[in-house]
Amino acid sequence: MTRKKSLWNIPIGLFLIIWLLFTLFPLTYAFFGSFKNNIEFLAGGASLLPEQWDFSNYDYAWKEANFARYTFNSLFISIMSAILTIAIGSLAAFPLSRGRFFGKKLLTGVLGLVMFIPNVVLIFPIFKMCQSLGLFNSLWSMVITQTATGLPFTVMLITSYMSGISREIDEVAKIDGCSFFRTFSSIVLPLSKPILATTGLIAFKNAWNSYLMPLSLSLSNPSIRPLTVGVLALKDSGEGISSWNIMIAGSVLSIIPIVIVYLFLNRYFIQGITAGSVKG
Amino acid sequence: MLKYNSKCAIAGVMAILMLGGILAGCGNDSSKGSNPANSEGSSSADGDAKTADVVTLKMWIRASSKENNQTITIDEFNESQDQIKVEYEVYGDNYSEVLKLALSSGEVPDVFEVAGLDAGSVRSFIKAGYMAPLEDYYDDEYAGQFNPSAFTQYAADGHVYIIPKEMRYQRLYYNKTLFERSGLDPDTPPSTLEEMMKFAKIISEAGEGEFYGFGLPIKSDSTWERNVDNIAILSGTTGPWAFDYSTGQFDFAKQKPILEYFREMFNAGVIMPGSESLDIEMTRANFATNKIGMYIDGNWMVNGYNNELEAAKDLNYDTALIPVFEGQQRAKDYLSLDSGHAIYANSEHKEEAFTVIKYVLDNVYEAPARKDSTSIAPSLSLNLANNDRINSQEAVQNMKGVTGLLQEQNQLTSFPVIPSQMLTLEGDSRESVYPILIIGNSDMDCELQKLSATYNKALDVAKTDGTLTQSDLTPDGFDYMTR
Amino acid sequence: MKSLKRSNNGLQIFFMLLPLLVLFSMFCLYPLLYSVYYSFTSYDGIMPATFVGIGNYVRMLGDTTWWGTVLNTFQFTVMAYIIQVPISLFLAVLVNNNSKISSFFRTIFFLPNVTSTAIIGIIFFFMFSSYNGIVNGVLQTSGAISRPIEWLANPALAKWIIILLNSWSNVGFFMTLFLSAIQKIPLELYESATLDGAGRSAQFWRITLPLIGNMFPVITMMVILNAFQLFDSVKVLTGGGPGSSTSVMALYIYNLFFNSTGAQQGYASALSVAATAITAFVGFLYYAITNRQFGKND
Repeated sequence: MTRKKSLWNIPIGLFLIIWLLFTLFPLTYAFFGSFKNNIEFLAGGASLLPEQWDFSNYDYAWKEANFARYTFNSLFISIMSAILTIAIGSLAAFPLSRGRFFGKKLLTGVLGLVMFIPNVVLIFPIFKMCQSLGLFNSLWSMVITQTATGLPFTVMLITSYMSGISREIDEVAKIDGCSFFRTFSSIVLPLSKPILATTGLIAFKNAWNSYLMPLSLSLSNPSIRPLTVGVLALKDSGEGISSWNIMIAGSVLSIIPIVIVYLFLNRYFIQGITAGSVKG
Repeated sequence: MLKYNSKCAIAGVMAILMLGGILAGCGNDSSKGSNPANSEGSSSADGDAKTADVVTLKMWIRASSKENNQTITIDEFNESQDQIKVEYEVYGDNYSEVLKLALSSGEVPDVFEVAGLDAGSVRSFIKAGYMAPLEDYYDDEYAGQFNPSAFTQYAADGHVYIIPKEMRYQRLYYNKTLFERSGLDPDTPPSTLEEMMKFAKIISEAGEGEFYGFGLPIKSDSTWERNVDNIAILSGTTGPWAFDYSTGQFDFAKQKPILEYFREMFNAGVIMPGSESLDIEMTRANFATNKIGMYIDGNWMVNGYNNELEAAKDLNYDTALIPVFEGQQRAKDYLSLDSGHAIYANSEHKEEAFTVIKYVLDNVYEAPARKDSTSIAPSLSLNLANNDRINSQEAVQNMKGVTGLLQEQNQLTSFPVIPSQMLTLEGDSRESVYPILIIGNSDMDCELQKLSATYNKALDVAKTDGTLTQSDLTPDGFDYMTR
Repeated sequence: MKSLKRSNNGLQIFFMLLPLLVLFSMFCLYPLLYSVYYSFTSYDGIMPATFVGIGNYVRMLGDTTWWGTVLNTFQFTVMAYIIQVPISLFLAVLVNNNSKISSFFRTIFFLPNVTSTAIIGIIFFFMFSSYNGIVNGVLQTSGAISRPIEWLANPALAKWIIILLNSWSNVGFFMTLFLSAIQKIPLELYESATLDGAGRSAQFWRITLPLIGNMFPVITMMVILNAFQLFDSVKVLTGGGPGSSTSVMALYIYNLFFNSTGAQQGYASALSVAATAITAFVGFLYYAITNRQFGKND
C-alpha cells in the first residue's frame, strides 16, 4: 500500500507545483517588472529580476499619470457599490425568499434570465441614458451602473441563503407582533451577516475589476476613470513604448489591494460561492 | 474578536471615504490644471468666468506626446497675457472615440482639435451644428496670407468651421545609423520600391534579429492610407481608399501590385516582427531606438523626433520621397489637410477661443524654438508667408530629417472630396481586410473584388441620398499627373 | 383585520423590492428595449435615426464576419471547457484534505479569480509580446527558437493565449466549486472502498465522479456564460485581430457602437438583440438537456 502511494505522489506533486508556478508567474513577473526601468524592460530577454531596482515607475504612475486619482476613484466606486448592493440586495431578497406576491415567479425567472444578456449590449443605451440624466461627470454613474448590473446575481445569492433560514423564526416574530419589515430588519438580517459579507466582497471585487462599463462611461472624462481603465488607457496614450513600464507599475498597484483583501478574507469569498451555487 | 475589530475598521474607512466621495464625486472635481506641465485640464464653472476678469477656456489637443509644439505654444500664450487662460488636455490614439462621445454627450471643451477623424464624421458634426462659424473673427487681410484651401476644406453653406493648421503628407523615414551598419550609403535612400525591398533585405540580414529593414504598423488603421494609398496616388493609379476619380468607382484591384509587394516583404521576413500587434506609436518608438531601418510616416514626425520624443535624442535619420515602382512616372503627391481647431458652438467665449486658435496658427512652428533654442522645427503651416520665412532659415535647412520634407512641395495637392469617408459600409472595411492580405495567403483577387463591391454598394446609397454628387466623384478634367 | 395586514404586508414587500425593480428596469430592461427599437433603424449617434425596417437583420444574415465572431465565441466555449473542467476537477481532488499545504494550495489557486481580467490581460500581453516579451526571451536565450514567435499575431496561437488567460483566471474558481461538492461525499464510502481493496484511481472513477455529477451542469453553465461574455481579455490581447479573426460577439458589437464610421449604431443594436437571443437560446437548450438528465439520475 505505501509503495503505491509513493509512486503516485511524484506526478501529483509535480502537477500541483506546475500549476502553482503557472498561477504565480504572471503576478511575479509583473511585480519584478514594475521595478525595471524603461530601457531594461523593453530590451526584453529572459531575466525576471531587474538589474537595478527602479522605484521611479511608481512615482511617475502615482503623480504624473494620475494614478492617485484613479485609485481613489476605484476605491470610491467599489466601496459604494458594495454598500448599495448589500442594502438593495438584502431588501429585495427577503420578499423573494419569504413573501408571497403577484409576479414572484416571474421576477425570479427574469432575474435568472438577465444574466444571459451580454454586458456589451447594455453599454451604449446606458451611456445614452446617463447622458440625458446628466450623470456624466460623476462617479455615481459608475457606482449605480455597477450595482445595477450586479444585482441579479447577488440577489439570487442572498435569496438562496435566506431561504435556508428556518421559517419558524418568522412565525415567532409574527406572534411577537413584528411586521414583515421588522422581521427582516431585526431578525433575518442579522442572521444573514455571513452572506452579506460575502456579497459585499463579491460586489467590491467586481467593481474593482470592472473594465468595460467604466471604460465607456469615462471615455470623455479622464478624471473619473478607475484604475483598470486608467492603466489600460496608457496603451493608447501618445507616449507609445515609454509607457509600458508605467502600465506594469499601475497594474501592480491595481492588483495589490484586492489581493490583500483576499488573503485576509478569503474564507468569505469561497464560502459565498459554494453556498450560492450548490443550491442554485 | 478580531473579526469585529476589522469590521469596525472597514466601517470607519468607508465612512471617511463616503464623506470624501460625496464631496468629490458629485461635482466636477479634477486635479488642478493650473500648472502648465500638468496636461490634464480641469473645467471651470462657466458662470463664474463671466464675472471674473480671467476667461478660462478648455482645449483638447491630439498629439503623440504630452509635451508637444501645441502645448508649448499654449503655455507661451498663457504667459503672454492675463485675460485668457487655456487649460488643455492631450489625447493619443483613441482621440476619435473620445471626441465622438464627447460631442454626442455635450461634454465638449471650448476649443477642440479635429485630427485623426474621418471627413464623414467631421461633416456630420458640422451638419449637427456642433461647431461655431469662424469667419467673423478674422479679416480678409489675414485670410490673404493663407493657401486658399485653408478656408475651403471645411466650409459648408457659406461658413468656415475649421482652419487647418497643418499641411500633412507622408515621407519615407530611414535610419542612417542602420544604413551604415549594414554597409549601405547613409546619404542614398532607395529611389524605387524594388530598391527599397533590396535595402530592407540587406538591413535585416545585417541585423540578425536585432534590427530589421522595414517597419509596417499593421495594427494601425492609418497604415493603409499612408503606405498603400500614398504609393497608389504617386503612381497615378487610384486615389485614397482605392477610389478611382477617373471612373467614379472604387477599384481595389488596382492596388493589388502594391499589396503583393508588401506581402512579399512580409514573407521575406524583413518587416519588424510583431508587426501585427505593432501600431504606429510602437513603430515610431522602435525607429527611434534603432530597431527599424525604414518606414513611412507623416511630415510632422520630423518635429516629433527632433523635439518631442525623449527616446529619439540620438537618432540619426533623414527623410526621403516615397518611392514608386521602377519606370513609373511620378504623379502628384498626396496632401491632407485634416487637422485644425474648431470652436464648440455652445462655447460662451467664442471670440476668446478664436484668439487662441489664431495664436496657435501663427506661432506653433516657432514657439518651441523660442522656448528652447535647440528645438528648431520646420513649418508646415498653410500660412504661406510664414511657411517660406521659417523654412528658408539656415537652422531649418540644416536640421535632421528635413531633406525629404522640403522636396517637391509643389507636387502636393489635396483631394477636395474623399468619398470613402462619407459612406456607411455594410461589410468589412479595408482596414480589417488588408492586414490579413499581407500576413496571410488568401486569394487577393477575390478579397479585393469583395471590397470593391462593398464600397461601391455604399457609394450608390450615398449617391441616392445626395451625400455625394457626380461632380464630387468624377471631377472635370481630372488627371492624377496634373491635378 | 387579515386583509388589512395583508395589504400592509403587500405595501412593505413592494417598497422593499422597489430599489431593485427601479434599477433593474433602468439598467436591464430599458437597454434591451432601446436595442430592440434602434435595431430597426439606421442611426449614427448624432443625427436622428431613420427607420429601415428589418434591413439590419437582413444585413446580419449575410455578414460573414459577424458569424465568424459567433463561431469564435462557440469555439472559445468549447476550448475553455475541455481545458478548465478536467484541470479544476483534478486539482480539487488533489487538494481535498486538511493538511496545511493543501490549504495553502487552495488559497493560491483561487487567487487569480479576484484579479481583473483586463489588467492580467495587459500582463499577458507583455509576457507574450513578440520582440521583447519574456516568453520569447526565455525561448530565444535557451536556443529553442531563432526567430521570435508571434504569439498574438497568429490567430490560432492567439486564441490559445486567450484561453490560457481565461483558464488562469477561472480554474481556481471551478476547483472551489468541485471541492465543495466533493466534501459532501460521506467518508464512509471511501473507507469501505479502501477496505475492499480499491486504489485511489478506482475510487475516483467509481465514487467521486458520479457523486459530484450535479456540479457539472452548474460549471458548464458558468463556462458558457463566461465565454459568451468574453470581452476584456480579447480586447486587450489582440483587439480582435488580425482583422477580425480572433474577435468575439461582444467585441464586434462594441467596435460597431464606439469605433466605426457612418451610421452603424442601428446595426449594432440589431446585433445586440441577436447576441442576447443566441446566448439565451444556448442557455435554454442546456437547461432543458440537464433537466432531463436530472430526472434520469434521480
